[in-house]
Amino acid sequence: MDFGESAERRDIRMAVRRLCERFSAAYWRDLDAKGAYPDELVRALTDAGWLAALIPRRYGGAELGVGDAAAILEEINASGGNAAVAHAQMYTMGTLLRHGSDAQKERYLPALARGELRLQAFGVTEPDAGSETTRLRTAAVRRGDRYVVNGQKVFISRAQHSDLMLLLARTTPYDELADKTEGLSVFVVDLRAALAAGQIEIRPLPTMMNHHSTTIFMRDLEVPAADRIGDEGRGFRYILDSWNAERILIASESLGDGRWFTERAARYATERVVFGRPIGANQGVQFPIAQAHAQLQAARLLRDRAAWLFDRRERCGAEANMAKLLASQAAWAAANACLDTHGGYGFATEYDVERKFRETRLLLVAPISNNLVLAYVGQHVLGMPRSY
Amino acid sequence: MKFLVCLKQVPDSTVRVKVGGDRRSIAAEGITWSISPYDEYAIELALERKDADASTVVSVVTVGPARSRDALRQALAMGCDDATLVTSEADLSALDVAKALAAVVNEAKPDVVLCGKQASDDDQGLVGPALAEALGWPHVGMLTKLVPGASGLELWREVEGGHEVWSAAPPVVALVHKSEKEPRYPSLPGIMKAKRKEIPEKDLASCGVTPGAPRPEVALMDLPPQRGQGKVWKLDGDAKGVAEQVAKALREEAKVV
Repeated sequence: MDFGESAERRDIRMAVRRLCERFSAAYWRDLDAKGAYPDELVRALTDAGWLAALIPRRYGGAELGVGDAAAILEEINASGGNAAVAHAQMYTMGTLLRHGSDAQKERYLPALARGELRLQAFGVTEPDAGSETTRLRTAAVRRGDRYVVNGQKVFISRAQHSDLMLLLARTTPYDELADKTEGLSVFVVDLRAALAAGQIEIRPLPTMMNHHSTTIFMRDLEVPAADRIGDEGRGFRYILDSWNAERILIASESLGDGRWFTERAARYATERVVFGRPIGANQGVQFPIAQAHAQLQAARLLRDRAAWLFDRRERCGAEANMAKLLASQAAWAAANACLDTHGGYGFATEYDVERKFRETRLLLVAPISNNLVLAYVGQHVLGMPRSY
Repeated sequence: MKFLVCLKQVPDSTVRVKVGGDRRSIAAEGITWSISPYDEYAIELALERKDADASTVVSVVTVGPARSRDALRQALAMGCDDATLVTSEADLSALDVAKALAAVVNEAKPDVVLCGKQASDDDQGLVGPALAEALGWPHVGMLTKLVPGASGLELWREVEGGHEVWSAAPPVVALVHKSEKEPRYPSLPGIMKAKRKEIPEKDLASCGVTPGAPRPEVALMDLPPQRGQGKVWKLDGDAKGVAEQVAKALREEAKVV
């Protein structure tokens, strides 16, 4: 068994670190204070090819695997940044890559690879359908060569900073379905055209961290039938596929956060002298940091295994979900250890700990609540009765 | 025009360096390595010439342990054309490194050799001038800009309060202080291209170098003493009185004024 990283993976990590060094803690602090979007960073990531990592070479991308994408996002978060500002382009891509037609790929992927188009938004959740995706109500009704969509989406990140949005909408009423996982379809929505036509409204939804979340209202939104991905009614299946990649990538962001917290905490614990000695010489301070580090290392192994399975196109639902669970918990343990270590200074914005603390807290809940991961493991891995 | 950039792999600037058990070297375990920053500026200057004229060839070379291959790949990913690794696991003197580099230069026959003005690990700044001496080439230090000129090259160098412009006909060795633009970072397409390039490896013997040039040895390596706690003075009185007490304390206790 080889636990080492390839030279190429090391190069990827180093290059992403180099790029992120140009975007300092002050840059992120300023964005956070203003609720602003890091256009400059996203442009730099795009220009250097990082957001086209998963796009096949024939469409202008690098055709890397999820394991490499995981390293890219992990390094962004480990640098003190927040890869959430651009991560959707990584995992949303999967639905288009695996289920899009050749014509759709030709139309979108080269422009995405060149950075002329941004695919940063994923419209799934609704006010009455969060984790229970099959209950979503946004309806797409076929009329000739197009669909007319009406409904509302909530917690849709980066819709104001994206040209395209993948949209999951109902094409068969829920009550008419024998299999409740059918009846949903995926569409590529051109947000710019929809906004210009007044068929869509995007309202910012401020949250406890700078996450660029929005609520989206669709009123008689017209989507060409040619922009439906795959078969009508199979959308939930297509989205499920991309969720495994999403879990692995979110786990990687958590691991990056965790590395940042433990490194910061260990440094501060070594430098800060109280009662005549570094506070890290006290086991009450030292052990939680060491514990978090150990948890992160374990979660990393599971993340690597999940990515390895994914890239071999093997089943990885259990591993991807468990990696997300353990990595987000490990990052949260590291966040708390780091905040405790810094004492009052941890709450001062200039130390960045409180910002990262808020950001990593989200990952226990989104994009999937850890309780639902446990429910999945209990039911589908261990064969226990459904608990929800 | 053909450029050869000599680079050194050093601990990354974000690494918190620890002194090794022998107290004469740093503890290498767990270190992240990268290209020395002044060498990155040198690469950037050369690549800017390549941007301006696609026929320009930019090669890189390093003398160092096998891990230095990562630094060469990083340079290839930034856009350099080819790389050569001269391996030596031993810690070499600057003179031995310069001799090995001279052998590579004599074989590659570049028009311009660029080096960072010093490496960020030992800050000695010896290799560049020693290389120019070994080659018998002119050398210019503190380079910040390099453009084609009437008599070959215009070499801009930083001096106190301004800059000088020198001209030189190739071949020349120039030591880089800074580039106008920040060094470009390796791109993903660059990494993919670098992956396909072979990096030929030489040893010191094939460069005609038998290590052993005279050198000073490091006697002791130590980190600065840990800073103590600050001291809080409780001072009373008006502003003038407080200022006098502070000045007195700074002079007599802290001994800093």
